[in-house]
Parts: sequence; structure tokens; C-alpha cells
Amino acid sequence: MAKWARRDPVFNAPPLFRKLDQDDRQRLALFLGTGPGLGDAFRPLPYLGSAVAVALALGCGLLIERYIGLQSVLLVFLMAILASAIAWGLLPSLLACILSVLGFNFFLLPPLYTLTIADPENAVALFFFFVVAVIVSNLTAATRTQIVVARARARTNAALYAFSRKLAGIGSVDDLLWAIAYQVSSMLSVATILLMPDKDGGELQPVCGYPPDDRLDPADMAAARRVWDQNVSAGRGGVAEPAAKRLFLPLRTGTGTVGVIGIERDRSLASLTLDERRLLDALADQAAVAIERVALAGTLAEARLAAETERLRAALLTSISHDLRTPLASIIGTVSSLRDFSRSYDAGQRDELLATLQEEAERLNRFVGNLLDMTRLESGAIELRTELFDIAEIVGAALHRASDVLMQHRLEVDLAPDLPMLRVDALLLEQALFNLLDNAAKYAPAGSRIGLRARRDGAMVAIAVWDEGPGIPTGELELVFDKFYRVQAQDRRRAGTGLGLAICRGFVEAQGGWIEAANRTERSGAILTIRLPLPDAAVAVAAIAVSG
Amino acid sequence: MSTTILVVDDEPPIRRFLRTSLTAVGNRVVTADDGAGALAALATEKPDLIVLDLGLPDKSGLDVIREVRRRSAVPIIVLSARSDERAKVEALDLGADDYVTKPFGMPELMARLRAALRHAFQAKGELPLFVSGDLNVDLVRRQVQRAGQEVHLSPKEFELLRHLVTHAGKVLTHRQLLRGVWGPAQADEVQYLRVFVRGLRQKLEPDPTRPTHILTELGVGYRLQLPPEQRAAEGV
Repeated sequence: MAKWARRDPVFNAPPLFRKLDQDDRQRLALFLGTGPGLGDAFRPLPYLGSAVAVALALGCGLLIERYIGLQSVLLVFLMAILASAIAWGLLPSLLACILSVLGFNFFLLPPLYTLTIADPENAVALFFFFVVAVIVSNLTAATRTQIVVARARARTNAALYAFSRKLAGIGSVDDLLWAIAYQVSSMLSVATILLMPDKDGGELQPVCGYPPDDRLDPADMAAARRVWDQNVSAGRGGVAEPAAKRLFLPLRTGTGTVGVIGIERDRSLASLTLDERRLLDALADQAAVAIERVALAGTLAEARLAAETERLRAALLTSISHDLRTPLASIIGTVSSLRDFSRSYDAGQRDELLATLQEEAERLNRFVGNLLDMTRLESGAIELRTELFDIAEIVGAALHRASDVLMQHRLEVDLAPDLPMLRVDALLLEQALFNLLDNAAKYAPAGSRIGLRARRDGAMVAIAVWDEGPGIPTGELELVFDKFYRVQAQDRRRAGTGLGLAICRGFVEAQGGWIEAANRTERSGAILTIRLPLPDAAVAVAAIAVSG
Repeated sequence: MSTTILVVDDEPPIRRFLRTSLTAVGNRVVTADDGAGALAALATEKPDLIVLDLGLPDKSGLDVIREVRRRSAVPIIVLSARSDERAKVEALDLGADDYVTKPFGMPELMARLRAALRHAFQAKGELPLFVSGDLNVDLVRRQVQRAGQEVHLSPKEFELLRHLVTHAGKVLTHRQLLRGVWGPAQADEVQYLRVFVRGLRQKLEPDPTRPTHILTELGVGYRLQLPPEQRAAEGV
């Protein structure tokens, strides 16, 4: 069974490179100076073309000879030879030379229709014509080869460049391996398999293949290990591990080996030519560099995450030591003074101390609650229990619980009468609303108004909590939902955990909604808005309400 | 005759603070620190009410409720942790009378104790009249007035209100209300209940968005708030 699933988006995209056809291989061979491979078949078409060209020249020659004379006829043959050299290269053009000499002799030189030449002057002219024709053939074919080589070089370079650019755009090792396997397979008509050491033991494992296949028989696996251990190529046709079906190459970079690539070609095709092998080397080098780049990027991201975690841990410690110790300090101080100096306080003072005691204990309780909520969110321990709920009911519960916190403010509640029921987790939403109200009460001055407004807004319900406080500095509107945001704002430190809005966002997003912060436009103050999607069943439930 | 209250909690500070506070307002308090001790005390001390922590070392508080209910109808007030609504509902459906969430204040606990005790003492005879603020409910004549004005309720709405009034001050779970008003077959149709509570609030509450009579206990059920003067008179 294949370990990886076929990932269509990669393969449905138009292939970056078409397969190398026979023509390309020949050009590449010329470019690489290796000459035609032994496996290359003889192709008759260019020779036939040369023959046709010479025949045409012969036709023209006959006409010219009849009306003008014999002197310029040889030049017509020279044109056919040149054309053959340009179109098909050296060998077809040499054939054209021979055919021209024979044809000229046979059809045009007296005695006609024999290969004998009566006039020695004609014999000499024909000999020199042959010499010139061969030289011209050679020169022209050489020029043509240079052009073909230049084109092939440009094509190969463009292909490799496009490959490296494509690899550079890929961010994950997984996608990268797929792209490499696919490109190598399609460019060289081979089945490709990639092996990399696994993260824990460093044991070499197949990680990707095209076509998808992760079976590696023992001989192949041994060959791959040898490549990995000794950093040399091995496998089919090589000196080492000749029993292996595949040819394995190390994926090397300047700093070391990142993996092993194995290729296997169908038995009906010839094994890799030297130039294909060079192309494979070039591809392997680029693949290795790309894999190393992505691996390094991953390491960097991990390091950044570790630093961020460290920063949060430090913020948490600061927050805990402040937010736990402050109420505890008041509680311990108040209790000890009540015990030790009870007699020196009058009833009013005693009441005041006791009220402080209770407030501080409740503050501590809220903070511990927030810490628990945050932990639940971060550990993924939130178990959603959504039901269709009357938003007004949840708002009512939140307002009821927040009534102590909101004692110093004037509250304005404005719920649209046509609010539909929503599919929510009532406890999470109530906590989110409580946190918004608690937050508003912290930042808005005593005596100012705090409002809660709920409206249907398209396919959503928007619940907004507004205040008349100083608002949120522009540019920090998104930051208020960050954990310990308050800790960073050192100038305006309020009694709070710096967790309330982060929890709020976590709870709202867990239910498929979102939350946003804005400042009021007509005066100072913040508006925090929770948006929740309407359930499909909202209409049905409203209907029950009417009939009941 | 003073009321005997059995406090079951494995935390000594909680036991101590409950014993002190409850004794101070004239009750006799016995304590147990686990489930076995609670069941033993039930037999020997014949308490009038049990305050039971759900997290006990030897057995689940829910099992204790089950065993107590097999032997006695004594009111049980459960102490539970925040965000454990499922356990609260289960305890109430097993026969606990009410719950308080830790940490709690004495006034809250006292209110729950009094509602449970009063309900136990008058279990048979219903309170014919309920007056709270501007709300006036006469169960015998089936009349409901708000601020002196007659309020018309549908039969189901009245039945729902009657359930709440007979258990005034006590929490009722969704299931208990649904069984009582709609019958056992509808016990899981919480949507009905929400819709009817919404309708009842529109008719009875001065400000339906901030209900003062029918309070929502999210994730648990509903509670009809006792009139403020009654709560004050009972010293809570």
C-alpha cells in the first residue's frame, strides 16, 4: 500500500516540461559532445530528403542546360547540398554530394546516361566540385550543430531554472518531495522514489514516490543505504549492488547529504544515456538544495515559535505573580488586621475592610477562572455543546452575573425584538459576553454608560458591547485579542488578567463566529462586536414560538 | 427545634467554615469527610438537610445521592465546581434539590437551604399565593397580575408558571420542567421550554432582557426568584 495519497492538484497542473523526445535527446547529445547514443535508431527521412533535393536540382539543371548551357548547372546542385546540410546535418548532405556528382555525370555530362566522362576538363571540374561540396557540407553542418547546441543549452537551462524557481516557491517538505519526484519522473521517463532519514532514529525511509509506490525490495533498500552511508551512487548497472532494480543517487548539498533519490526505467526503454545522467545529476543537485532550504526554514520557524512561547511564558509569570499576589496581599493584610486590631475599628471601618476582602477574593476567583478557561482553550479541551438558544436569554444571564462588576456604570441594553435563535454553546457565549462587559467596566470611567446591543446583520447576529472610555489606540485594535496584551501596555495598567479578550475570541471562534474591536466614531469609546452565524433551523423554531 | 444539617466535604477548611457559619445562625451541624461517613451519619443523625460536595475521595457524590434517595427524601444541596454543568444536571435529576457553585458566598447558600427546607416542610400543601415585586400569582384562582394589571397566560404558560411557583427559589432542570408541564414523552424538547420561557418573560418581566423573576441557570434550568422582602425576612 502506498503510504502517501495521490495529490492531484500537483499533477493536474500542466507539466512544466514536456518529456524529452528523441529529437531533444539527440540535440542534447550533440550539446554534451557525446555523439549519438548506441541505442539511437537510424532515421531514413533526412536521407530521403537529401535525395529529393538532389532530384529537384537535377530537374532544374536539365532545364538550364537545355536553354542556357552547362556552366551554371553545378551551382544548382551546390544549393541542394547546402539545403541538406542546413536542414539535416552532415551525413545527409554528404549523401547529397555523392548523388549530385553521380546525377550530374549520368544525366548531363556527355556521353549521356553513362558514368564515363569524355572530356577530361569536365572530369577535373566535377572532381573539384565534389571537393568543394564536401567542404561546404562540413562547414554548414558544423554551423548548424552549433545552433542546435545553443538552442538545446537554452532549453535545458530554462527547464532547470523553471524547476528551481518552482521548488523555491514551495514551503513544505512534503509538497517539495512531490514536485521533485514528479518532475524527475516526467523529464526522464522514469519511476522515481525519494528516501530521507526519519526524524527520530535517522533510519532511511521512502518518503515519496512517483508514480506513488513505497515498496522497496531488500536489494534496492541495501543499495539506497549504501548510497546514504557512502555518499556515492549505486544500484542498477553500477559497480555496487548490481542486483538492485533502481539506480540510486545521493541528494547532496554543500553541507551534507539530505536524502537519496532512486529511479527505475521500464525494461523496454534503454538505460539512461550519459546526457540523461547529467541532467539527472543537475536535477538532484537542485532538489537537494531545495530540501535543505525548506528544512532550514522549518528549523527557523521552530526557533521562532520557541522564542514566542518563551515570551508568553514570561508574560504569564509576570501576570500570575501580579494578578495572584495583589488580591492575596490585600486579603492577607485585611484578615490579619481584622484579627489583630479588631477592637480599634468601628463598625463602619470593619465593614469597609470586609467589603475589600470579598472584592479581592472575587477578583482572585475571576482570575483563576480566566486561567482555567485559557488552559482549556489552549489544550483543546473545549467540548462544544451547541443548542438552539434565545440570545436574549444568554445576554440576560451574562448581565445578571456582571451586575456587581457593572455597579459603577449606567447600563443600556438594546436587543432587537426579532432576534432569531442561534446554535451556540450557551456557557461559552455567556462567558464571552461577561468578559466583554467586565472589560468595558475596567476601562470606562465610573458613572459613564456601557451598552449592549444585539442586531440581526444579514446572515449573522451581531452583539456589540460599547463604552465611553478612552477607546483603543489605532493600530492596536487587533492586538487587544492577544494574550497578555495588557501586560505590554505598561502605561495604562488596569486590574485585570490580560486574558479576558483572548478567551472571548477563543470561545466565539470555537462556535464559528468572530469578534472585532473598533473605536466609536462620534465620541471616544470602544465597541467590541461578536458576530455569530444564523443556523438553518432558526426559521423553524421561530414558527414554533408563534404557534405556541 | 433546631435544624440538623449534615455537611459532607473532604476539605477541612470548607467543613470548618460551613460548621461555624451554619451553627452561628442556629443550626446543629454534623460533618462527614467521605461518602461512607455521609451514609452512616444519615442513619445515626437523621439530618433535616444534607450539603454534599460532588468530589468525594471514596465514591462519586452522584452515587451518594442515589443511595440517600433510596432511603430518605431529605433535601440535598450539592456543592460543585464551575463549568461542570453536566454533573449539576445529573445530580438534580437524581434527586438533589439544588446546587451552589464553588466558590460561593454564605447568602447564596442560605437562600438555597431555606428554599429547599421550606419546600420539604410544605411538600404537600402548595403555596396558594406568590407575590414578588409587582408580580402576583394566585394558583387557586389561576390569576396572574403584573403591576395590578391582569395578565393573560395560555394554559401551558400557566402550567409552567405554576411549576416554578410551587418550587419558588429552587432550581428546576429542563427535564424536570418538561416532564412536569408537557409529560415524560417531551422530556428532551428543550426548544419548547425556551420558547415558552421567552413568552412568559415578555408577559411577566418589567424588562425581559434583564429578567428579575425567572432566572436562567445556563446549562441547567430555570429558577423563580423569591421576592426580595422574603429573602431579607429570612435573614439571608
